[in-house]
Amino acid sequence: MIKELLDVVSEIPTPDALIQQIISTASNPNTSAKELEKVISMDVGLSTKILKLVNSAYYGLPRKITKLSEAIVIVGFKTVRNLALSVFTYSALHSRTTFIDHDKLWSHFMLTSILSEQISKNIGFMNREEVFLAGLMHDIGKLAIDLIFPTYILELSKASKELGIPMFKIEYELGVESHTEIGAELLRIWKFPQEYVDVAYLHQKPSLNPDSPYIEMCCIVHLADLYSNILIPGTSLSYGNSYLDPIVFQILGIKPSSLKLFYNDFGRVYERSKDLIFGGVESETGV
Amino acid sequence: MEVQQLLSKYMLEISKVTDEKSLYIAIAEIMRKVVDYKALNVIVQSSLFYAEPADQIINEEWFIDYLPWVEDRLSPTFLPVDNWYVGLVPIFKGVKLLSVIVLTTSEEPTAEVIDYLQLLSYLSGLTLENLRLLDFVDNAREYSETVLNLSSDGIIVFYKGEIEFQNVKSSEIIKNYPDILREIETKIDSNEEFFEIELPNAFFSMSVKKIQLQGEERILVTVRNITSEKEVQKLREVDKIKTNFIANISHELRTPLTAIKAYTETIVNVPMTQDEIKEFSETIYNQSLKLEGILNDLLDFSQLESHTLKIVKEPTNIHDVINDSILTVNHLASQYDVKIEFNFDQDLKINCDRKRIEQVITNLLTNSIKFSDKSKEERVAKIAIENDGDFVKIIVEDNGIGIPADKIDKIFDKFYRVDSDLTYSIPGTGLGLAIVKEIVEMHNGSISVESEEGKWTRVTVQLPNE
Repeated sequence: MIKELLDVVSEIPTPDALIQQIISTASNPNTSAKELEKVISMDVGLSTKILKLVNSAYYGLPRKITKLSEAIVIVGFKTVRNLALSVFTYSALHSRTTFIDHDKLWSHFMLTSILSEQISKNIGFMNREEVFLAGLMHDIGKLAIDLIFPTYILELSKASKELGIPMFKIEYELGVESHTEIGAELLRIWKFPQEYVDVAYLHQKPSLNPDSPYIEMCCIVHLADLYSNILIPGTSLSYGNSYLDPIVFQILGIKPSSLKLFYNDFGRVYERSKDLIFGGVESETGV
Repeated sequence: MEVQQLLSKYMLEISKVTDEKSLYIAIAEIMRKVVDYKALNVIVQSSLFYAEPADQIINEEWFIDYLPWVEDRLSPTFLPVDNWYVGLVPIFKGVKLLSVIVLTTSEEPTAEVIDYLQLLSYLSGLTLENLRLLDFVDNAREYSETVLNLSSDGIIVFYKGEIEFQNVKSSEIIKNYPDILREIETKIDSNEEFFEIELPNAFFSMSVKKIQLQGEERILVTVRNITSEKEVQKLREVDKIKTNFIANISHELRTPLTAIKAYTETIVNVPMTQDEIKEFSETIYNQSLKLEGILNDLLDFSQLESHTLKIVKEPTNIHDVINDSILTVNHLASQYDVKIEFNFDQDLKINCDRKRIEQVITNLLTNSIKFSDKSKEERVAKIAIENDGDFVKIIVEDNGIGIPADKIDKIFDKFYRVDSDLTYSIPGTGLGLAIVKEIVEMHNGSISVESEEGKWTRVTVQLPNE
């Protein structure tokens, strides 16, 4: 029901032409840094926001970067693309005032993408930037529901908090379209590659489709989502004990004991990335 | 460049790799297909490991502050320096940095270049880690192999009855003493763990142990050649025996000499009756005979040692020989209160050295008398003859103190006395039986002994009936 509305409700922002162009330019293997810089520079505000993110403590660069072309070759094309999409997601989240705290949801998006990248690094999964983006987009369904039925998501979140049951489980028991389905559908409409659609759809329970060609990414984001809920509880609008899908051990080749090691590591990562998670991108425009 | 081409290039170059250095040469070669670099340096643990071209060292100042950053981030990066770039490519496995490849290029890196470098850094990390592991395993193997092969003990592992492993020493031992394998096999079944085995001219000490290895039972055998230890041990024994012998023989010579001296002194200095002088002279005579006996033994022994002992065979009535021997020992027998029994009245002639065979029988009878058991009421030495056609057996049997089982094979050794310690409880030089054995063997005969300690002893001399 909601799915049908996604395409027609005008409140839902779509990535504008510039974002689309940034994505396609960054994905073109023959793109040079200068070319990507040229595309991003079309929005002066976007360039400065990206530079601000690149220079944040999370990236921990030894020298401050002042030029976008430098940022592109130093942190990589895909990281810059991810940051451009973070800026878009941030503004999409803050496009309207509803009953829920968008800053909180943003911090959940950001921490999940950062932890997704960290898990990839720790287990030796090569496509870290793709996983970052998948982490950023995994809960985009919640944004869509909020924009279409703001009271409904508020009630869902309240119920989750009062009952101590994760939102996903309530959705499942109510038999409604879940935020995972809606998120996947939205990303499909936005013409995101299939891996992001799969992650949005499967991130709550990857074992729903163990045959997905992107099952590793789904498992990584599933874990990152779980850690994110532990580190900053409630920011995802979901409460209660998060579900850990046992399929992650087999797919990612990790042991239950690795989870504890990751947790120790992620505490530090979280401290380092606080300015990214809570600072937002809109609050300051200057570098 | 297509990713397939890059991968085939990678596989091709990597297959030539044998060590860390050649891996970097291969990586440098592959990277050239991805980036047109001017110089490439490999930094391992903060120091330069390899440079291509060899003399091109990239100025550290351009990138040194980025090294920890790259180590943390584990992604390739390019730092703009004026109009060109310094590329840093971490080589890592898991989250462990193994090395950093630094390169300089004037080309602006594209998204593809960074992607390919990322792929190379993952693949090279795996290869390098494997190389290092292989190297580690190789070194460890070489170390333990060297230790095993330098060991002076032979080490063999049996698996399902076959030799699965053997070190150099054990191959050597098996080559020189092939019989040892059979000995080991019999011991494997016996459940004994430690034992010694004797082969002609060689002694081995061995341990056989069941071990669990790779989940299955194997048998670990260690073999040590202890021949030289055994020889030293034997030499020490001989040395000890000789020392004892000299002490013993001096004592044996001194006793009669002292008696002769004392009795003669008395005759010279003290006025005596004719009867007394006669009695004293008899003692002097007996002691001289004893002295002569010892000197004869010594003479025989020295001939025996120098292989100059000769026998002269003549047809001899063995009955007469035995009777003469009994006469010789009669005096001694009555002294020890030993009864000599001899019941044989046939005339049996054999071809032998009469004097020497009499010496043999006298010696055996003397032993029976000297080693008689004082605690027994009746002390008997029996002498018997058996003739089975080809051989004549002379059997001397007594109910004396017997010979301990562990000493019985030594009594024919030179100088050997069962009571080897210097107790002198029973006089003797320890040469008698050695001489006896030599004489019997010179007659192509043999001598054997059976005994039960504390009960009886039976010596059998077997001579050819010629």
